[in-house]
Amino acid sequence: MIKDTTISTEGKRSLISIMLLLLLSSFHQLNQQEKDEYSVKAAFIYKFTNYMDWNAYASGEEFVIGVLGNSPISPELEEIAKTKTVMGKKISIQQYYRAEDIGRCQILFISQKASPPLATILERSPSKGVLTISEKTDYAAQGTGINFIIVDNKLKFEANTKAIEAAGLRASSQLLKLAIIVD
Amino acid sequence: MAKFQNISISKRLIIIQLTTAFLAVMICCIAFVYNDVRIFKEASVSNKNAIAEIVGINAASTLEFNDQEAANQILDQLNSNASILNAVIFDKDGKEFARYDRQGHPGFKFPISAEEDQKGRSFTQSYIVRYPISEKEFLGTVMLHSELTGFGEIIISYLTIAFLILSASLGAAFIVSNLLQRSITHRLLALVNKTREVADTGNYSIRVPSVGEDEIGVLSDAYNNMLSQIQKMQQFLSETNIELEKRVKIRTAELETANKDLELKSEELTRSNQELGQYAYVASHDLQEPLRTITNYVGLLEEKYAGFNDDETQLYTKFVVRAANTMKNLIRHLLDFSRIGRNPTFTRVDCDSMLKDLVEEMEGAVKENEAQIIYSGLPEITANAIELRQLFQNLISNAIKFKKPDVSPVVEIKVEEKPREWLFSVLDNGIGMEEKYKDKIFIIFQRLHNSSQYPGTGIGLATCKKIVSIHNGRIWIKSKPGEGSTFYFTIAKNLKTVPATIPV
Repeated sequence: MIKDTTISTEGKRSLISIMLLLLLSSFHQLNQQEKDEYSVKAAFIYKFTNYMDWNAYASGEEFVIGVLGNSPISPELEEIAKTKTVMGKKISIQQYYRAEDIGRCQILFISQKASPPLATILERSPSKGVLTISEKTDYAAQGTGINFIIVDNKLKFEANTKAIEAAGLRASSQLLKLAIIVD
Repeated sequence: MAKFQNISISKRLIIIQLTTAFLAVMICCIAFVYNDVRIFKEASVSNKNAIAEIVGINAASTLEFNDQEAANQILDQLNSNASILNAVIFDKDGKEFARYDRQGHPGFKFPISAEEDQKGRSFTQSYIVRYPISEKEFLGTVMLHSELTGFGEIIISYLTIAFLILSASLGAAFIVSNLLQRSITHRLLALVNKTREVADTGNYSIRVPSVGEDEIGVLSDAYNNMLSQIQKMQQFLSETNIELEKRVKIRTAELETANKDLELKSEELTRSNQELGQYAYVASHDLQEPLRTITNYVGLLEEKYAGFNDDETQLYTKFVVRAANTMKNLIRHLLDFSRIGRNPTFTRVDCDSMLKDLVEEMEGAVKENEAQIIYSGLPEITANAIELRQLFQNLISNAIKFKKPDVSPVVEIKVEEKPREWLFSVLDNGIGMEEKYKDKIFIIFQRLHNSSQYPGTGIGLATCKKIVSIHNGRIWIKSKPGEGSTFYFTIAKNLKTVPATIPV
């Protein structure tokens, strides 16, 4: 029907509106998918805290999760922070845009959209007491603690045990057995 | 089968001990088997609980990070435990998250609630354990379905051991009780045998050998004690018996002698009594003849010498005649007296008509003294007619004789019926007498007055007494001087024609 050449103006118009609608709906669908993905990622990040040991590096009043770069994860994390705590502390979400902004935090989530190169980010972030979590291929190999990947349409994660240890943290074996270990 | 009570004590003791041993060992075996089976099962269950816990702890992160593959890998490791048939991890919504089925046991359906875990499953069959997985919050449940492997073998081995223990302990109990019961039954049997011997022979000097201080020893001692007491008692009794017999013999001999004496005396008395009676009779009878001769010749003398007699001679003759008459009277009365009871026969006597005859006969004396004899309605009784008449005659004459000088005599005869006798009374209005003479008057020849005042022989009332005695009765008097007298006498009702014994 779309390829019909004998379509009237009105028909054209309605066709456009239908196409627009389709486009919109697919966009919406995309949006929804992305929202679901980040909802799971936010939940994972929260659950990681159960399997991680920050030793003495989490002595502040709040448990700070920093987000570098714009990400749909932020509202999801905020949602979690409303009801949950980590080690009895309130969760605080900090938004960073530049590497220089990175402050004291226990988890640093590096968004896909973060602009600074990874090396810079890692250099600028505190060397101890921070679990870095990324979501880009090979980032774990390049030095982040945990890196989200999609395998067979399921969310999985890589873990760089050396990076985690180097940050002065310890990951539980229960966590590591589910992770794809990267050295 | 014989009654338990009739079985000998030794057998009974063995049975009791064997039963006790059997029950004790049986109960122990049951308790041990039950306990061991319970422990076995508890051990299996707790072992499975531990496994479920390990699986749960391991699977917690897989649930949190939704890693079914890792969860299945964890469950697959259960393959090494042969007793686990099925295992499942449910997520927090109760959806099956991961599953493991041992080969040959596919698709076991786990119950939803824990209450149904044991439903339809026996104690020895398979069982289910569950472990709730939670980190900070409830994540899901691990459930294991296991079977009790090796249970049958364990039961069989227990039963074998129990059987062996039972047999061994029964055998041991049999031997031990056989040995032990001897110490009881042998002594009991000895006691029983001695008892039998005593009962059979009556020999109380037998003693039971007394050994030990237990109940049987006490029983033996008590039995011996009893035997010696019986022995003593028996001895005492036999001694007393002998003594008694002796005494009885002595007494009997004494009695016999006394009896013989009495018999002799009695015979003597009877004889002398008879002799006396005979003598009195003969004497009186024989005295009559010379007296008559005296009287006759005194009469002849009077006739022949009537014209020549001076006053003195006449007076002497008069004295002789009077004395002879007195003597004649005396002899007659004596004869009457001794005749009484010589041949007593009893007949029916109508007292009324008898008295009527008597009063007519005594008309002379009655009229002379203007006496009044009152009687009426007297009964017919059994008595000796002649002697009864004599009795009444004596009493009536007596009443008339002892009248008050200026008073005409009134004599009243009454009778009263008693259960066993007739009570007669003869009442007069005469001079009466003092109470103290009431016995004396019935003795022969005893007189209260001299013959010049009231003539008489002193035999009348004695005769009355004798007559009453023959009728098995008594006679007595109630009287006061100046107030008249009442003679009472009784006549027994039971008189037959049998003669009564004559009293002295």
